[in-house]
Amino acid sequence: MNVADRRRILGPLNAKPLQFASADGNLQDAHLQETQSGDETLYIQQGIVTNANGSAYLEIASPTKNDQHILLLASVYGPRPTRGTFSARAALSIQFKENTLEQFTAGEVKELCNFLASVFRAVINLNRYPKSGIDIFLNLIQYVGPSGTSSLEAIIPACINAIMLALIDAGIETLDTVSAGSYKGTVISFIRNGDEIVGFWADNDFDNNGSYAVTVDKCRRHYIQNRNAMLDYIVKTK
Amino acid sequence: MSEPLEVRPVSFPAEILARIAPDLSIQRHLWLGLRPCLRSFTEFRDVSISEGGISRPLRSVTGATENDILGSNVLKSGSTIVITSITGGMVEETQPATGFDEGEQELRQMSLASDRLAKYGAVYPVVEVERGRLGAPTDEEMILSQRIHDNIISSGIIPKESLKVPVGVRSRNEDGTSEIFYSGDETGGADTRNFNLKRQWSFVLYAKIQVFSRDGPLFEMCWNSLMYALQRTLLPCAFVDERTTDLKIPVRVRGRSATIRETYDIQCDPTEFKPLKLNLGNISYGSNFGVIDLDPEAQVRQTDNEMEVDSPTSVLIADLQGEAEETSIKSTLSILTDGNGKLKHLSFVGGGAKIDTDAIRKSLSLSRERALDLKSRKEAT
Amino acid sequence: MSLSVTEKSYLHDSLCLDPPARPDGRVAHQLRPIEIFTDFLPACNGSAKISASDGSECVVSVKAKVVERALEEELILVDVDVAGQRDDSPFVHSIASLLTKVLNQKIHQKNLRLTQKYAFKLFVDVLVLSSKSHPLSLISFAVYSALKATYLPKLISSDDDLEVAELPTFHDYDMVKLDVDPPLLFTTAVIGNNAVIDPAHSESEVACSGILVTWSKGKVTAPIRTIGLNDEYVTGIDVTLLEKSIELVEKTAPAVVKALDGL
Repeated sequence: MNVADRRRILGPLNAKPLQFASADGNLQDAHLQETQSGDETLYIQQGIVTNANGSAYLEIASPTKNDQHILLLASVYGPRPTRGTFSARAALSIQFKENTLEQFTAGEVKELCNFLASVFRAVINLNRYPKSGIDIFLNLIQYVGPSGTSSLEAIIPACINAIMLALIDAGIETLDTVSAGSYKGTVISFIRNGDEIVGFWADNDFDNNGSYAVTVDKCRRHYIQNRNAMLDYIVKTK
Repeated sequence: MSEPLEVRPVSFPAEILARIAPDLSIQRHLWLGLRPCLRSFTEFRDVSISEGGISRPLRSVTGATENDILGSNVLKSGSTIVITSITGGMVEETQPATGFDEGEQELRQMSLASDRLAKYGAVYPVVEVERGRLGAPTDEEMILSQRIHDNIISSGIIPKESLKVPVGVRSRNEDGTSEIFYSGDETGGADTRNFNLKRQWSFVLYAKIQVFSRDGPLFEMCWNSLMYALQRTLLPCAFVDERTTDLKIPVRVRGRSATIRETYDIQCDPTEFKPLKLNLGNISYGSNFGVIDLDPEAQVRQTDNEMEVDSPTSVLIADLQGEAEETSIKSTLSILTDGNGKLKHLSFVGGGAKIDTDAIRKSLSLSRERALDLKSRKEAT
Repeated sequence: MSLSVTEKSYLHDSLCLDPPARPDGRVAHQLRPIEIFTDFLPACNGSAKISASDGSECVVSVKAKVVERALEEELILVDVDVAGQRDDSPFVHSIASLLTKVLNQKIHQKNLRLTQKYAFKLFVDVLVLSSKSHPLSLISFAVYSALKATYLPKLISSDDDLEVAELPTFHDYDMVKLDVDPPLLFTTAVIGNNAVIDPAHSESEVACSGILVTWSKGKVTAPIRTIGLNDEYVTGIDVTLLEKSIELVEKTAPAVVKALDGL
C-alpha cells in the first residue's frame, strides 16, 4: 500500500505486522492432503447484495475436514452504459478482493482476474450488450484451506460458480451454464456438458498423478456435479 | 382535422413513483402513517450479529498459518451486511534514553493526567462500501473512517494499558523442546529475574469494515459492528528468544565502521491469547434519526370536504433506510449512548425541518432503549 | 493496425482449413524467425535482446545481489515493462507474476546458493519495446538466453560460514557462468479444429482461444493455462484441441531449445 496514502487512516508508520511463531507441525498435516473432489457441501444464496444487478453468495465446506471452507460473494453491476467511443460489444471487467485476510499477492490476484475474464468473455453473450460495461466484483470473505502454491487453484472453481450464479441473478445472457471442476491442482472450466473447455489452469504437473485424459475426466465429473447443484438450486428457487 | 386534445392524469405504480419523485412518495407514505420501507415511524430494523468464525484465536486449532485476525463481527441489519475484522500490529514504545529519571517521570505523569487522549488507544479503521466501482475511497468512506477513529479515542474505550504486549521469554531445554515463560506465571517464578527487558511494545489495532448492500446512513451500523468485534477481540501473547534478550551482534559494514545491531525478534504465541480489556462502561451503541416536515399538499384525502385535523407538522423517523428517506430527510440526529443514559456522541444536522426539543428528547430515550437492546444481544452471543 | 470484420472473417476461415493456411505461410508447428543478441549490456550480469520478424522487440537484463538465504523466499524476481501499457495494468502485472512464479518453481534454489548463509538473488528486468502479438513466449526466449549468458562473481571465501559472522568475498575479475536450466513458455492459438504455435498478431485476433504451455527439462510441464487472445472470437474449445496444442509444443520445443543453446 502506498506510504503516503492520506485518504485512509493508516496508523503509526513504525508499526510492524504480528509475526506468529509456527505452531507445532502436526497441526498442519491435515492441509497437505489433497481435497477429494466431490465430497463438499455447497450453500448458495442469490440476490444478497441489493444494490447490485445480480449477486450470489457461495459457501463451500468440506464435511470431512470441517476447517476447510470458502465463503465467496460475487456481485455483478451492469450492463451499464459506458462513456466514450462506440463499442459493438460489452466490456467485461472482473475484480477480486479479499475482505478479511490477505493471503494472495497482488500479482496472483491479477492473474486470477485475467484468467476469469478470459473464461467469461467466451461465455457471456457480449454482442447482446453494445455500448455497455459489465463489472463483476468478487469478494472472498473467508478462505481456509491449503495455503501456499496450490491455494489459488482451490478457489478458482468457486469463483467461476459464484460469477455464473450472479450473472443468472442479473439476467445477463450467457451461452451456457459454465462451471468448473478441479482435480489435484488442475482446474478446468467446461461448457456444453463437458465437451468444450473455456478455461484451463494447471500449476501442478499432472503427469505425476495420471495422464491428461484422466485429469480431464475427473475434472469433468466434478464440473457436472457443480453444475447440477447450481441448476438444481435455480430450478427450485425460481 | 386535429383531434381534440385530451389531458389524462398520469399515474405511476408506487415503485416507479418512488424513483422519480422520492420526496412525493415519502410524503404520501407518511400521511398514511407508514414509511416507504413499511416500518412505523420509530421502528428500528432488526439486527443480527455473529462472530463470523474468522479470527485466529477462536480457531487456533486449525493451523491456518497466515491468519492474523484477532476479532471479527458480521452484522446484518435489513439487507445491509457489515463485516468487521480486526487485525493487529506491534509498535515499539519509546523509552527514556537513560535509565529511570524521577523528575522526568513526574513530569510525564503530570502531563498525562491532563491529557485524556493520551490515556486511550485508538483503532485505525478503514471502511469500504461496496458500490461496484474501483478507485480511491469515496468521501463517505473517508468520513466514516475518521468519525469512527475519533469516537473510539474520545469515548475512552481502549485504555493504553490493555494494549501493552505481554512479553515472555522462550527458553530451549536441553532436550530440544522449548518453553515460554511469562512474567505473571507462577511456574516461571525462578526465571523472572531474566525479565530485564528494557523495551516495551504495544499493539496497534486495525479494523477493516466492509459494507455490502448500502441502504441508508452507515455510521451507526459500522460503529455497532466494531463495538461487537472489539468485545470479542483476543490479543496474542508474545515472546522473545532467551538468547536474544540481551544479544548484541556486531556487524561490519563495508569493512570500516562497526555498528551494534540488536536483534529482538519478537514473535506471537500461536496458542496463548488474552481478551482485550476494554472500559466496558464506555461502550456505546449508535442509532440515527431524522426529522421531516409533513407537506399538507401531499396528503391523500378520502373526501375533499374532510377537515384538516390538528395533525403534527413534523415527524421523527428512526433508523433511516432507503434512498427516498436519505435524500428527502435532511435534518438528522446521530446518537451514541450506552443505554444507561450516558451519552458518548451526539450530532445534529439541521437541514430543512426544525429539530425541536421534543424530537431531541424522544430520540434520546429511543436511542437508550435501542442501546440496551443491542447490548443484550452481545451478551446473548 | 486493426483488421476489418471482413478481413477477420477471411483469416478465420483460412486458418480453419486443414491444414491451416497461416497468413505468413508458416506450417502449424513453425515459429517466426527470431534474432537474439546476448551479453550486450556491460553493466549487467547477463542480458539478451530478441527481435521477431514482425518487429516485436524485447530486452532482458539480469542483475544479481547477495542476500541472506533465511530472509528471502524467492531468489528470482521478474519485473516487466511493456511499452504502451501502464505499469500497473493487469496484463503487465500478471505476466510478471507468472514469470516470477515459473522461474522460481523450475530453477532450483541450490543453483543460486553461495554459502550456508548467503545466496544470489537474481533481478530479471524485462522491457518489451514493441509487441503486437502476445509477448509471453518472446519474453521467455529472451529470459532463457539472458540467464544462459549470465556470469556471476566467483566466490573466494569459504562457503561454510554458518558460525562465522563474515560476508562472502569475491574474486576481483573472475566470473562463473550461471548453471541453470530455465523453462520456456510457448503460446499456441486454437482456431476451429486447428492449433498453431506462436500466433502472429493477425492470428491472435481471430483465435478461439490461446494456450500457454511450459517446457522445462525436456518435457511439457505446468503451468498450462488458457489465455484470452482477443475479445471477439473467443469460444469454448474441444477437449482434444488442448492435447493437440501440447503435442505441438512437444514437437517444436526440442528444436527451439537446441537453437537457443547454440548461441
